[in-house]
Amino acid sequence: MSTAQSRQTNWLATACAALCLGPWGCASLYQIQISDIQGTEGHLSPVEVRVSETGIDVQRAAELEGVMMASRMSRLEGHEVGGILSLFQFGPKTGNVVYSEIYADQLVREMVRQCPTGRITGLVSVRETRAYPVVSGEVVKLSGLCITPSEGVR
Amino acid sequence: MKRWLLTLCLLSPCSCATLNSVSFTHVPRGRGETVRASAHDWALFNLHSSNDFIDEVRRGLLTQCPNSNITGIFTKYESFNYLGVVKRVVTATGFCNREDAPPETLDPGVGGRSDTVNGSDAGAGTGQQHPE
Repeated sequence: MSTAQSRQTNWLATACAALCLGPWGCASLYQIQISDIQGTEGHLSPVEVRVSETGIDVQRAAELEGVMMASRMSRLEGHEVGGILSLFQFGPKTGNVVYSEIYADQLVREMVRQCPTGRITGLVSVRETRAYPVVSGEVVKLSGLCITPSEGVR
Repeated sequence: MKRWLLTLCLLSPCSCATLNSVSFTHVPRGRGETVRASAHDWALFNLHSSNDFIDEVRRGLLTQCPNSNITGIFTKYESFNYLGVVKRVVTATGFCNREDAPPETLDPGVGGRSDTVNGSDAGAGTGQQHPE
């Protein structure tokens, strides 16, 4: 088997493995916070809002690009590109980089929309990631209990 | 070979603990009984399929303190790494303020200064605090 055929076989095996394992994304939990619970105000019904943004593992993407390319020169370039990109990703972070930093800003608006009374208690804020090969879902989840005033409760 | 197996058996109960996040909510002046809820899950090689286990925590608090207010909730998320196995634990502790609780069971708390516990009181030994 020639070198080109071997590379093609490896690439196909990698693609098949990614397709087979893709649906089973690995879940990571970074932060959870639970707010006060007011259980005396009325009836509590659960509400939940989840927003997600596609994150990209730039280093892994650059390496994969190097593996997929046929020539050795382009493979080196893939590593170099990954190295340069990693210079822009210093500092603490959770999950992979995303290209929109405002994707979680709509959480409060959505939460209030789901709870027309606007009275929400027991908020659980979760920052999590669903990781797949190269890409990931950077998730912010907000679940709470919507207070609906019952009879006799102001 | 036997020596390696013996070493693995001896080390298996040992784990490295990691504290991932800590948060605290307002602590009122009058505090009721303490309620505590916890949830955990296990995974091989840190390959977790979902994070749904955390839903049990709030449910546990509500079960222990129904139709009441729960305040001063201290939430801690930590993980323990054993040999190839990871255990994630979320623990929440709060004060259940039942409306029918007699006044003498309520602690005067922070002396009427403020409803909020400062970092030196609340986060002692945790090393991290997320103010609301």
